[in-house]
Amino acid sequence: MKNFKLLFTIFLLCLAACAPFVDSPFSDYTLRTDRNLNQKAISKLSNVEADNLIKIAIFTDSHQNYTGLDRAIYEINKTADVDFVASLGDFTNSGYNYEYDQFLNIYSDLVRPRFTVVGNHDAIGAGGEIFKKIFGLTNFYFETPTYRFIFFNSNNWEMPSDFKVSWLKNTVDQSTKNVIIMSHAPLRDTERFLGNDAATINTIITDSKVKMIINGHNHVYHLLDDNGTLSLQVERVENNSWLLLEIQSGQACMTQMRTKEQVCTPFK
Amino acid sequence: MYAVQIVLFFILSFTTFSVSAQTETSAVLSEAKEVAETRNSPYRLFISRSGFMGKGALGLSYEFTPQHAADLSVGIYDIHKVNYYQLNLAYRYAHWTLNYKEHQWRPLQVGLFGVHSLDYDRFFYNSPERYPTKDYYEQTRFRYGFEVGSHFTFLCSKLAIGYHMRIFDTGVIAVVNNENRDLQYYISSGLSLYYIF
Repeated sequence: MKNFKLLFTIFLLCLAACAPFVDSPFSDYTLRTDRNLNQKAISKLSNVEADNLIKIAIFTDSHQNYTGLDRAIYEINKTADVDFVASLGDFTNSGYNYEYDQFLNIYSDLVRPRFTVVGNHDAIGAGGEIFKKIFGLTNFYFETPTYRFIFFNSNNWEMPSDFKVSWLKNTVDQSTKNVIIMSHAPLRDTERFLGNDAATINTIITDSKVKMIINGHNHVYHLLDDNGTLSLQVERVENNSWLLLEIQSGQACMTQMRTKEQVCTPFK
Repeated sequence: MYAVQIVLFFILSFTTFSVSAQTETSAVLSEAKEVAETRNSPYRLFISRSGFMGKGALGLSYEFTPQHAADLSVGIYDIHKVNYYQLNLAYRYAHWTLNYKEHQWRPLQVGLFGVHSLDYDRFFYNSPERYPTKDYYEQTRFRYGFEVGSHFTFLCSKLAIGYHMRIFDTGVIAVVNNENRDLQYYISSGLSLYYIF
């Protein structure tokens, strides 16, 4: 009897140790305890532009491609002198808490300061609340000696109360430095942004201070000149697809790390 | 939190064992008859925790035969400290049943489960009207998956405990698409306490 009890109890303990206890996929409870990650990353920035060069690693739209994300982060970590890393969102499919946990498990391996904007997929369900709990503000910026980097929440349909075009305009207007805007959806998305929003966004993009706008969302690489402003769309993470952006002396060099193709273009 | 729940489960199992052992030593004929009748009862009321069924859930279990059982429960979860509810359904199959004196152990149960959120504002089958198409997103209101577990019934005390490990359909897809990946966050442990009536 005693042996049976002991055996059964050990058996139960072994079983219970197999997996964590997650309450519900619909809640905002996460097993990971990371908090305020974007704000913490700002405090970790140091000596950006000290060598007159800003080096940024950018990846986006990993969804459930954890192998691809793993590989991209491994390569980013091996790359010398990266000043910071930008993740442009859509690192989940449906904004579930376990998807956030799984992404963070890999994201936390990044050794450089890292910033994340919320993607539309990350913002559905309880995803918006989870993002704010883990990463903090969905609209924020920081500055280096000559640039203001703005991270903008482009999810008007998913997080309408946090979609603030007026905030973006004010942040651009008040900047005394060159501006680079990063968002998940492209600012020229004609499905999402209509009427007054589209008009205000147009004013922002054509502002002389705004040198570059960068987005993910559409999964393919794209570079064009938008009224003098460089508009860069980053390819989704797959087969080591990430992008290295180097800004130096008023010029941007973009290297697609999957193909090693590089394009250099001066700012307006 | 993970370690705390394991310890609590250990305490619960050992306590239930001790209670059932005391009951067994003082069994009389009428109790034996009650046990026999209880053993035949297919109905169980249960509470459970985690396992994707909610931070707590209350429900009814029905055993069609000793091998086949189904659970239906209402679970509770919260977002930003506001409570919401979900419906849970599970079916499980146990090929082996081990009887030890007045106890019964199903060492391995396998099954299917589904969870359905009752928060219709956040979770949907068809994407809301503001989106260009109904299938802009995949449905988010219902998730299903597979479970394995173990179930021990202390028939003398009319109690049973169950442990189940569950993985969602999206977890299976992630496992297939990402070989050699640690996907611990796609799997959840769950504990249940049953009362046979």
